[in-house]
Amino acid sequence: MASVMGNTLTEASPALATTYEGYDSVLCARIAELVDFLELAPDGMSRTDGTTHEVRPEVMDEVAIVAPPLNLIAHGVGLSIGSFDNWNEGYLRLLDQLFERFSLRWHSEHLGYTTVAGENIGTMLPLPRTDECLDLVCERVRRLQDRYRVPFLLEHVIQLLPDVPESYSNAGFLNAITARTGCGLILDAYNLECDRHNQGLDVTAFLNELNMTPVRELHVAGGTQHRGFQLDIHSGPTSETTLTLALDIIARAPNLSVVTFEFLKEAIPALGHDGICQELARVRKAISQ
Amino acid sequence: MTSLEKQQRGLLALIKHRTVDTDDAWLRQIAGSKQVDMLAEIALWWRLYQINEQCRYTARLLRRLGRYAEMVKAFFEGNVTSPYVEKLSRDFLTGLSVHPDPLLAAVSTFELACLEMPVSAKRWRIVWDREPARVMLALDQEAEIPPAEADCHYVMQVGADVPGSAVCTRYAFSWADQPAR
Repeated sequence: MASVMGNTLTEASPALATTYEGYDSVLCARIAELVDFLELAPDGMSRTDGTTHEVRPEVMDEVAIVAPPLNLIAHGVGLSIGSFDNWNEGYLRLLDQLFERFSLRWHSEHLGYTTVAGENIGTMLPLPRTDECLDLVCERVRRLQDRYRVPFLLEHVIQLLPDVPESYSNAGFLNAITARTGCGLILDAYNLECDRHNQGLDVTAFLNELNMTPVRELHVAGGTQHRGFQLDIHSGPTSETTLTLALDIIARAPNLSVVTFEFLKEAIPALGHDGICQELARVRKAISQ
Repeated sequence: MTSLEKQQRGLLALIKHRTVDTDDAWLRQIAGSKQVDMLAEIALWWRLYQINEQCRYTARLLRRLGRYAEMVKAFFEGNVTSPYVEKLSRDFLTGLSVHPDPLLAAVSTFELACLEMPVSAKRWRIVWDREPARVMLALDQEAEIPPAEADCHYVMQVGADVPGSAVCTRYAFSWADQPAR
């Protein structure tokens, strides 16, 4: 099992990461004591007037205080890599600024879309797993790989809608993308549980079919159920079932180096600083066994 | 139109409760499903949250009027909404700034001016039918909003070039004499 402690790759348990979106320097200092990586959210750290986009300098200053020794990675929600017309150029401006200021180990995005012809759909939707989408995504992944000379990872998103006809399987689509582009993957244990609950996904079969070699990062989180759906709102502590699935993934993924506990900044008041720190300690203990 | 474009445009329309005229069997299959309802609810929930965070006073006033969810829903579904919360909020406030309810128009314009002032040289002129300081204090403290004053109105100037950023003058005119906004 490859792990990153400091800047040194070691054969050990995976490193631990968590999310930070800024404006809570007390939390930042506390979690910095507990993790090896900080996952920066370019969208959440930014401001825009609709035409210009800027990572808030004061948030970058907060991050600079704790890094180094922490490794930094970026994880976006706003690129909309799968929009039929174009991706979000504004998000790339944000990434440019982060890369100018920091040495990021890798960056990642969701395999989905949030805008259609420039209009926000209000949520994130997965892509139909078709050849048309495969071509579109792979071409854009290659452009990202050319632009930023660090690994790029894609994360699967939960699916509420039924499959479109003539789809690849969930794992088959990810395998095709990684085979064509060489990009990495983030697996989200909680998202897989959502798909199991909402869609009846056979998670074991998914993992058996998936090429685990490109999996570099694993996300864990807690969410909520609403009107019978399990939703990927990262608002709570990680459940025992999610942790159990995470350990199964860790055992299967030979290149997995980081486990990230994700939470939305909107969930901080409910989770509390103490709760977040306790959760990080709990995840650390679980993945170190 | 590619099948991907057709599906994405169709899903956008379904989530925003717009008319979907399609020959796509998959879109027809999911239209009206509980899954699409859930997606629409999630999308609206986030817009309610974001606008509440960015437009606190207008959101509070709309809640007092019992119209917050209805107005945000109408805005989200009826407009090409931005993925950026700053622009989303300003577009929402801009739409309300010409609302026929004079109090709602004044509060939303004032909040828009406060958001834009740091990055704009514009000067806003806002007509209030009651004392604005008392209105904002009431919204801030969740207290009772003062009633409209029949015998006067207040004209507020807001802008980066205004001393103290805002000045307000009380005019003891009848509403019939009020200067045009």
